[in-house]
Amino acid sequence: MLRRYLSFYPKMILQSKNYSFAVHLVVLIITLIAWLGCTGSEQSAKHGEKPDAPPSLSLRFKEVTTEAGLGEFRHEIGAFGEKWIPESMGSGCGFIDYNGDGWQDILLIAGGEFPESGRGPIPALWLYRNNRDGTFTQVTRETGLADVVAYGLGMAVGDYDNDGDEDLYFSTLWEDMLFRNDGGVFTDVSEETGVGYASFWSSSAIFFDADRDGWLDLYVGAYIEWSPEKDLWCTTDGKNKGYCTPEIYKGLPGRYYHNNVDGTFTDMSEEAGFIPAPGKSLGVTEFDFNRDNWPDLLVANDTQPDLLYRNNGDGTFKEIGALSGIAYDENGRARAGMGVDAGVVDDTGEETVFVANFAKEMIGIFRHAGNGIFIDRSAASKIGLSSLMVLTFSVFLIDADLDGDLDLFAANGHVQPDIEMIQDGVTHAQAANIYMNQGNGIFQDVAAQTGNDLVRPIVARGAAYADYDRDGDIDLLVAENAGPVHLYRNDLQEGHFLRLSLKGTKSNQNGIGSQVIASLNGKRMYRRVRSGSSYLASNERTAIFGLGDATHVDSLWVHWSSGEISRFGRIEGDREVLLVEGLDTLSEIPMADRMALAER
Amino acid sequence: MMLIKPSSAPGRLVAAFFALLALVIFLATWSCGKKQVSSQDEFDPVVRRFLIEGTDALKRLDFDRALALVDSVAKYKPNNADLHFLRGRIYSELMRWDEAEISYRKALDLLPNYRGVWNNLGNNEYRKQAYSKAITYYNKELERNQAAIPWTGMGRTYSQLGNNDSAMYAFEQAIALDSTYAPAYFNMAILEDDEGNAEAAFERVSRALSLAPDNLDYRYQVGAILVKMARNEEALQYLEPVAEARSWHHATYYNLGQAYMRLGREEKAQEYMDRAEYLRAQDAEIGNLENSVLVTPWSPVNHAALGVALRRVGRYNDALHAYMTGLHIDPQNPEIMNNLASLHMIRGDTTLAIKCYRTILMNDPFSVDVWLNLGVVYALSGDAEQAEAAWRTVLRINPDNQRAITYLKKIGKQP
Repeated sequence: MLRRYLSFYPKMILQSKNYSFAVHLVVLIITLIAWLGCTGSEQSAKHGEKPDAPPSLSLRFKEVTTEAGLGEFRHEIGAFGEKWIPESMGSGCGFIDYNGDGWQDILLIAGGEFPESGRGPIPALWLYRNNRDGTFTQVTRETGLADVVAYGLGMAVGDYDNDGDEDLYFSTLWEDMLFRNDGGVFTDVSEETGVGYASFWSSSAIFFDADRDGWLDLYVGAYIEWSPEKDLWCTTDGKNKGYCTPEIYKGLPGRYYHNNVDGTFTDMSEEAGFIPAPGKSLGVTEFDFNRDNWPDLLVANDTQPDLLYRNNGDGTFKEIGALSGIAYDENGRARAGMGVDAGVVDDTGEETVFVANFAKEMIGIFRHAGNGIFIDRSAASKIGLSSLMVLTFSVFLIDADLDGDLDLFAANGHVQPDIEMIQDGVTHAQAANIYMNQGNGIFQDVAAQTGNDLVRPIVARGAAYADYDRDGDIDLLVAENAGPVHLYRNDLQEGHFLRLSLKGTKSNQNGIGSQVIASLNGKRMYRRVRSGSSYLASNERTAIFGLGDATHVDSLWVHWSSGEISRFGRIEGDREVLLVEGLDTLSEIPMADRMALAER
Repeated sequence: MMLIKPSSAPGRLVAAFFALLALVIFLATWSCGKKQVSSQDEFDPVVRRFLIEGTDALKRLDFDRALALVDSVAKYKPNNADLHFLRGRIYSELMRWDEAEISYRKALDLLPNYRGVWNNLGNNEYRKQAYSKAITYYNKELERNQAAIPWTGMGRTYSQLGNNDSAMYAFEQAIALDSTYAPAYFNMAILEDDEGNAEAAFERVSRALSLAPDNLDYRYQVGAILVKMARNEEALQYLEPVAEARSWHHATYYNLGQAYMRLGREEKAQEYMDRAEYLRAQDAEIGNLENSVLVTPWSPVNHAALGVALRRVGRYNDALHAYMTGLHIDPQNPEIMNNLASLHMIRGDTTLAIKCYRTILMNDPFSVDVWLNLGVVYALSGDAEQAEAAWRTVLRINPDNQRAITYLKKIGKQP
């Protein structure tokens, strides 16, 4: 630049008729260039333009915890200065129709106290009956659960004895419990059934029909070998004890209990192929990735490879996680692995699995590509990058806006209370995400557009979904570590739906393990009835289809877990129907008055 | 500036004078952001020699010697900015962040536009995960020195903060300044990959590799992205050389396993996956130890443990760094010294191994194991006489020591 300047400068001086003006101009230019040279060019990186905001959504989530009658609940971590690792893990929550009236009731897990603290025990379970008007009433005592003492963690719901009401498996830091439901009253049957007797840190559990004999079996994830006596000293600042992470502890393998049909279970962990296993499991779900109608299991492990148990077709399993590609991230690293879910999220018809991971780790997303091989879709789905700055505990797939596509909800919150002092850009309390499916397995986080409530930062742990007010859209329940529970009502004002309750006759009573496929305008939508996904939580077991602007589905198939297939033609929407295995007809279950509720 | 009509010859001379003056002012101020910083003592041969030796010592990870040389310069020329800069670099390697900052700032006090100081301070903040502060320091470097290195550092930091638009902009600036700066392309590739733009990521990382064809990190990344793009056969050509050069790089083995699996070659896939699984467990342990070192950099035990784990997988240079850092903190630690000696032996440097064992024995002359190992090293280096002397020393301490007896017999000597 200087050479060019110098080359024309003498010419300018000689040729200019007004020398004074020329000198003024030269000095001005020189001064300007000098000033620019000393102050330097642009220093800050440009903050690029924000991506175009998606079209305005009609999806709204409103927190209604207090008005629903859940405001009194508080999760206790039992902290008394020792910074024991269980205090950072939180508990689950979930929905259970304990009285069989078709309305989802809520079960909350309160955590617990440590005897070493000197404080007395607290009730571990809080059961709320749905009053059918948007509110709940606590019924813990009258249902037989008030005297349950434990350091409570997770829950799984399923009718293990096929008597028509939903039973409860309760996972804890020590001995788990199985409660049989008899007409709305729970009885601890752990000892007589043969489950829950062993004392170990268990986590997410799932009822599923492993051998398709019509009776629900049980898989229970296990975490680490920990006790107050074996607690290790960890630090994040080099001086003070902090919460440990699980790498330094030995993992415990999960347990598989086979239902003996006579009200008892047998631990067949080893025979069925679940042992040996690295352990440190936090999430489990079932799905059928190879479409052979045998339920497979996906187990998410914390700092260990995630596991994919392929059902051999006889109730035994082969673990193929590493070879399938779902065990690790793209560089072969094991990640945190908390909540999980699986579903069909694009038009390939193939199952995609979602695994919640730590901060600075993407939510793991793997789509089945055939022959037991999964491909990593974290980045391509557009979820991966935005999930890096949060620590996700719970994930599950729901059709939040009833447009027919499965969206992903993620509940977040860190484990280190002082993380903001240690790591720039990461906070302890974090906002939730709701990733809207654009229709092709590409997602966009729209949580901020659903109102202020979902994006209020909390320290989330277990999360579950259900249509608790039976208005057709799906509501959310999120448990907070050492905090309240949060019930978010979905106030969607548009979109049609179809709810399907399954009742098995050859299959188990709940229809768990059945796949429902609805066809609408040439597009297929897949839903699976299952008892476990997310983190330590239990969701409604109704298959819910969003229909968008359509008012019916064109056709419907049910692949029952027994192997039976039911086919239906056109089914009108905006209602709940009951499908009974073996019957060609369906019956309607009355919904709430949707218009009345919509006027709130 | 006084302006006169240059209508006469003197007037023209005056005009020319002021024009020249303006030009001089222009040149002086234009170069203020670009002038290469130099020390006032750069031509002092003593200072120059000490600083060169100090830099060499740092490269060899001989931190104590490097600091000693810097201290020598400090006694001689305490206001030499280069010595403070070098001291800052040494302390940074030792993770003595506060001392590093003091040294760097001293360099800045002496020469406010010292190139690289703010960049290095930014790097240190990055390593401490204090990303906002790192950005501030990179900005300060860029105020003084528009260069690809600080722009790339800034981009990497913005990535950590989840600010990817800014990260991409920063990398673009780096490339605009130096289109041959491979790390910028490499980091852009990572960003593109994270955003799901595999094609763009492949293009960027391929460019990085073309600029630095010997860089194994780049070569690995090309292969990994090809696996992601389901171009598995092509991926093998990139990944296999990396596996051969880095038998400890578990990510390479993992991706090779995945590639072979997708090509239907299950047996080969299992072979690589088995190796990957072994290395993954080692890596997990190394990761934990690296975290421990980050949290408690003053603990020699943590550095020693990290060194052992790194040595176990064959990362000898990194192991050396860990051991030397541990020894800097605790120079007389016999365990670290012993581990260091073993590492020197593995790397074939018997001279340094002998030096380590001799150092241990100065403080603990009755250490049987060290005398035994010393003898082995002497034997391997061909010095049978010294080997015999070492093993006979063992027998004087412990007359029934079977290993010493066996070793002596092996060299044809009676116990």
